[in-house]
Amino acid sequence: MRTELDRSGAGHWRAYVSVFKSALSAHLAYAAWIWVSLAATAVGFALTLLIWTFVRGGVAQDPPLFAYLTLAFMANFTLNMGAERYIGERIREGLVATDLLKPVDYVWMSFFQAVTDSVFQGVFTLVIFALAYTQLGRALLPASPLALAQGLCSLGLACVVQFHLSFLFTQLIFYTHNNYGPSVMRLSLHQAFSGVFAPLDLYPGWMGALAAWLPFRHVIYTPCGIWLGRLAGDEAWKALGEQALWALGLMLAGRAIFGAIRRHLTIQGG
Amino acid sequence: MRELRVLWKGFSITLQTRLEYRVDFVLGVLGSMGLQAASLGTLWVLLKNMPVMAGWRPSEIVMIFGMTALVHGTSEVFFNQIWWTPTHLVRGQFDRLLVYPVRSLPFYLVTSPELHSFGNLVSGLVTFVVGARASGVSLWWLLALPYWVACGTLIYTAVLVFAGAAVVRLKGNYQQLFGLVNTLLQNSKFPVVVFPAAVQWLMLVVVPLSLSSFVPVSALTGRQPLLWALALPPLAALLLCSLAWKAWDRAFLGYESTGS
Repeated sequence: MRTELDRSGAGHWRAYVSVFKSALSAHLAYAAWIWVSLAATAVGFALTLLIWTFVRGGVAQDPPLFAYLTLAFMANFTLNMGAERYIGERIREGLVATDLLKPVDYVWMSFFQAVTDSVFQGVFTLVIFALAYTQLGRALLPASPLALAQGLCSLGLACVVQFHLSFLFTQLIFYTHNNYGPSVMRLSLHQAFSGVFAPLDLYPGWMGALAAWLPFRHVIYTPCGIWLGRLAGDEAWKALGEQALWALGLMLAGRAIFGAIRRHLTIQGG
Repeated sequence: MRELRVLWKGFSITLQTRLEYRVDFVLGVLGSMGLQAASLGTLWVLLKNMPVMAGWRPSEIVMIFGMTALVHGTSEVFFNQIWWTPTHLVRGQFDRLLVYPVRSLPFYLVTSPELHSFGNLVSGLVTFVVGARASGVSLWWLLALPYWVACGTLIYTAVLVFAGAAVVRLKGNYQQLFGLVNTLLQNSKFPVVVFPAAVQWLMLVVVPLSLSSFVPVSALTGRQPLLWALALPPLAALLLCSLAWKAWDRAFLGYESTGS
């Protein structure tokens, strides 16, 4: 009798929960690494803040801007998923072959693994939030109860957008056989257009217009902007809708491309 | 001389293996240029809010950006493998290196050139030239550029070697230590005077990454004596390189293989 593997993902939620739990356990085993990572990233954030402090003439001159920068840093650290690295290395070393043999959907499995990165790193960023709160106070809090709900919803969608953007770029490794090029391509676009160093409403001319057309803004700017009320009312709903459409579109595109690649896949290594 | 020949052979052979990945080379170069463009974009946003930063005009800041990118790119071409220390340590791949009949640090550093560095080199050179022309600095100073870039590359690489030695001592996958050094380099693109005194001291004395970009551009734009720009970077490079090499060798005194 021939047994077909169910790759739809339906009925495999327990498997995904197991993937999530085991990845979380691995994170707990390397908690010291996350502290080092947070400290190292926080130094970069502190230097960015110092530059903006110089430009604005002090934190007290523009608390909303510094609140945005703090949340942008937190979102960036939280959504800095290791998916690109894990998947990239497994493609490069040929280990993706064993992943594809597993009776679960590969994309969902990778997604759940990536979500553990976000959950774990997100908890650590609460330290930054607490520290920043002592300086910025209410400026860091959501603009309204609706902004809180929309902001959290947007953060969830940002997680989906970020994963699928990474997954799309990671698939280039099947052609490049090396992960530097694709990951640095995505990173450069992320740095320029996500709003991680400055709110997009401060971007000049064509740079702001271009950022508005790209999905990268939905990783940082949209959730932070909604939370703080920079995007409010109809603008917030519109941004949420666009974010949801990007999440869906990127997911479908990623799956379609991955399906095509699998049909022509040559496994490296052995 | 024999050791130099071995180093050159190691460098050229690994360069050939890198050339195998042509699509990755193209994407890597584009990505590196993209990252430079992104940081210039950040500068643009900042300058929109403050057209002159601490007396520094945009074109002068752009010169510092260019020099920093050149330092970054040169280090990636010649000394990139230091970034792989955590991975090689965890996988026990240093065992092999330690039995080679050469000194471990230089051989390790030069045997993984990264071709995407050409993106940083090209964009750095273009940025510097554009900034220098707009600032009214003579392009004859381009002849001195390799001198400052070489000093900056040695300083940056020495700091990375300290991070590598720390990783070997701590016996862990602390990749972020290298990220931290890179973050400091990226922030040395800004005139150091925009930071508080403690950070200025950090970036000019403790981790003197601003010494080979900010100080030379300060001299070229008439803010500091040229003598400082000519004397301080090589002194810092020499001192840091000798200390970093010692730290690396000492870290390996207690080396225990972790591989399987």
